Amino acid sequence: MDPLASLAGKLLGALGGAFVALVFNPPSNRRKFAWRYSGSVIFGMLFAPVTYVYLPAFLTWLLPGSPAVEWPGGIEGIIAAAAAAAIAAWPLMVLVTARLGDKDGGRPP
Amino acid sequence: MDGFQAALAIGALVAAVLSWREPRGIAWIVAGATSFVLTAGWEAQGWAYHPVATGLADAAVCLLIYLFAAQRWEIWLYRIFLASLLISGLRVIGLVPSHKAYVIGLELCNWAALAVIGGTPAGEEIGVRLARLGPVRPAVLRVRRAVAALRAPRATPPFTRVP
Repeated sequence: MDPLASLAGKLLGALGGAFVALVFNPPSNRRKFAWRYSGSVIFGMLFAPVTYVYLPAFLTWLLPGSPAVEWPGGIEGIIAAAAAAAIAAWPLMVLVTARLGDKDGGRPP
Repeated sequence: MDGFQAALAIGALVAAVLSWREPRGIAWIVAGATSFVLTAGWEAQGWAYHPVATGLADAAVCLLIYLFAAQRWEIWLYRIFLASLLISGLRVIGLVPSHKAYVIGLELCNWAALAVIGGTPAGEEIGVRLARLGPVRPAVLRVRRAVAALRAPRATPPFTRVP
């Protein structure tokens, strides 16, 4: 796969995943938003290849024989993996910012 | 347009009429309708990843509501769109295996959203009209309390307003 296309796919997926995670658990201020969003995007891009390999296997184990589990290949798979990694990173970023003195943990409105 | 979509369009129209003095209600109906039309068009074109497109459209509406909501009923609306996003997410990973169950879930969310948008001003009007009929009864008080709870300001401001 073209490295530039792979990088663009990772970035697109991570931005999308962090966006979905933001909607589910919005932070309480702009500073936390910046930390969590950037952290999730970086995490999503870094862990996209690992997620690409292991998440389909996990889903197949979780839902054996389900026709809905059709993990896409190629660039689409990379985008999906980056999005999944970014979504998973968001609660981790909440925990990290909680450790750094954020008491409310970013509760929804 | 099939029967379900026509029914939803009529429901949206009724909710818009009920909230004609509520520009925010009209705005959320327009946002939800735009999301619905885009995703229905996506599916009609036969393009792949329909649940992903639906989820992203719902996420955009959710974020809009979260950022601009002023009252509790809008936060309920945010939660309903969040449920819709969750259903799309579960469909993407295969936990909603049947397309029929997926569509029913989304329809229920759409109708719940319309009920909240149209129900809040309608409940207010019902409370006022019941009060005009005579002495305040427990039923009137219940309606008034429910509407007051929905009309209360949101508990926390959006993160964009807090540095």
